[in-house]
Amino acid sequence: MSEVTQRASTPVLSVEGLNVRLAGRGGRSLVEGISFSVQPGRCVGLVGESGSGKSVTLRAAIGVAPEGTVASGDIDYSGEDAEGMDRARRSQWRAQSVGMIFQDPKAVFDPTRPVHDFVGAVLRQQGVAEQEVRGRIVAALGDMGIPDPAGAAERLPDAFSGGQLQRIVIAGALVHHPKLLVADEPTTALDTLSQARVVHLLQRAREERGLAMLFVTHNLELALTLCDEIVVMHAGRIVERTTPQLLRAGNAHPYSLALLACRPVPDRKLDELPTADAARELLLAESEFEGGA
Amino acid sequence: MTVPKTTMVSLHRFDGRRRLRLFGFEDTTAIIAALFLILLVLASAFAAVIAPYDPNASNLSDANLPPWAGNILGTDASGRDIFSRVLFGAQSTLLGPLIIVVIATVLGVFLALLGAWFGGRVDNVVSRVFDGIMVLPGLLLALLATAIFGAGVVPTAIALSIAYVPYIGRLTRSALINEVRRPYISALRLNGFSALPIWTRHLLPNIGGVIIAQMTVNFGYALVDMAAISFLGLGVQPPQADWGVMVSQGQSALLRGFPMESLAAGVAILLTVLAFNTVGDRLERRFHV
Repeated sequence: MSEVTQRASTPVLSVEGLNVRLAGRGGRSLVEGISFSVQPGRCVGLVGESGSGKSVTLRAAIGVAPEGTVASGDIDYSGEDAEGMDRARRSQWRAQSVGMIFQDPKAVFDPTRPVHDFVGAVLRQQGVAEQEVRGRIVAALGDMGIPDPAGAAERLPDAFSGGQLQRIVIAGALVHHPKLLVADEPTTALDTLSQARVVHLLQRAREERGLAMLFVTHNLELALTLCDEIVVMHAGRIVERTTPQLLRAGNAHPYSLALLACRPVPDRKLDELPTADAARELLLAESEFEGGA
Repeated sequence: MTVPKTTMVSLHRFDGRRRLRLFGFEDTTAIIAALFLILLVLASAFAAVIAPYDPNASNLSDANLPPWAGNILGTDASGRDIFSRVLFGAQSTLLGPLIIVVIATVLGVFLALLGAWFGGRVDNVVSRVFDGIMVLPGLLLALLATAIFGAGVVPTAIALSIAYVPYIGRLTRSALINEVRRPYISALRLNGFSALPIWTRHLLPNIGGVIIAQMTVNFGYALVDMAAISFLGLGVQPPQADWGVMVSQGQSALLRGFPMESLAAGVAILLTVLAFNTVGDRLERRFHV
């Protein structure tokens, strides 16, 4: 295999046997045995109910496990073993190579600082000249469809709607040309129109820049639209790794199909809505069987 | 096609009263208090220009003159002009609390930052330091300082500033703990920002209101403490004009039926403390302290 081909196929992020547990002796396990990898230009979705361990997995994968937890497992960043990197190097890799999109865009802005402070934060941290930082901020905001990007950069966060703020967050996540974009429920706090815009922008960014994407959502429909590979999680474990094609064809684990089915659609009464309860029981039976074996 | 008529309704209800709004305050008491403090600072800064007489020039033949005899507030037992002494006295009276509040705020906020940022054991140590200082009476510390370093504004103010550290530190710590947990701080940490730029650019500006409110309230209390120290003869030394010294020195004249020196200085202390407390109280309400 040539060096170029090998570099292209090296995953930007590779996670093997990730375990996260609460700190302290006998700390409860939060996620267990999680493995996946994200190639350049590919999107992997972590999907599951609330509390299934998606966000914990995402944070641990990029080296920022939540406070009070301990993570273990083999994690490689662009082929380099994360364990071999010291804290400063890991932090540098994260700042240079990862763009982050958060669930609540209003909460990630310092209310006392203009939005350019957030968008240009990583560039300034990298020591890029202020004139170039300003130019790239305006270009990134314009690219996200923010009207009057030069003026918008100077405004405080409360001058924008939730949808606009999330687009500004995306601008901040892409402005330093990262290799990996991680998004934790980026559409949950948004109205339908803003959700569609954000999804479109994420798709465009991925296609145009060949970005690797790790996408956390409880919305399986959204994952079907955006992802190449879907990791379905339940109670801190992987139920299955599948593709949108297989899921759409109904060729998937009953729990994944149940998740897909229990979505509210017009003209369907609430008591007719299927739930994932039966599938959960099936999962429980499976884990007991594995434990017994 | 007929277009339905629409009526523009103002969302702002006109209640028929014109409200005075100044420095962000809407209530008259707070505005009067803020204006009083501004006037006081200006008067003390330009005391040399405003004061009609030299505050230390004594003339025993003019001792204990009443206000209506030519001097605005009359004269003291040494024949010095009380109004001029009140104006000049404001300088030393405000200097002591200023030293106390600045030192206490710098130390208290720094310790609070350490505790809130690092949490765990560091926070425990910081909290115990605050608790430890709280049990020491401020006046006792000031007396100890004068016993070691001698009487004067600076040693007593420095000693009292230690006693004031927990008052600003504990409140700032709780405000900072809330602020540190906010997602924008996590986002900055994830982006590789180190502690110092996050403290100076984001955390402190966001709790600045809380700090200023507490500083204002503490200033009032520190002024009373410093006046008490001067009253005991351990702070500002005569013949320098100081409100605490004036209350103390006017005692004998007060018993002889000439209350103006003690009264003028006492009222000045009372009004200043009241004004600081009122402004501090409104700031606390605004910043939800």
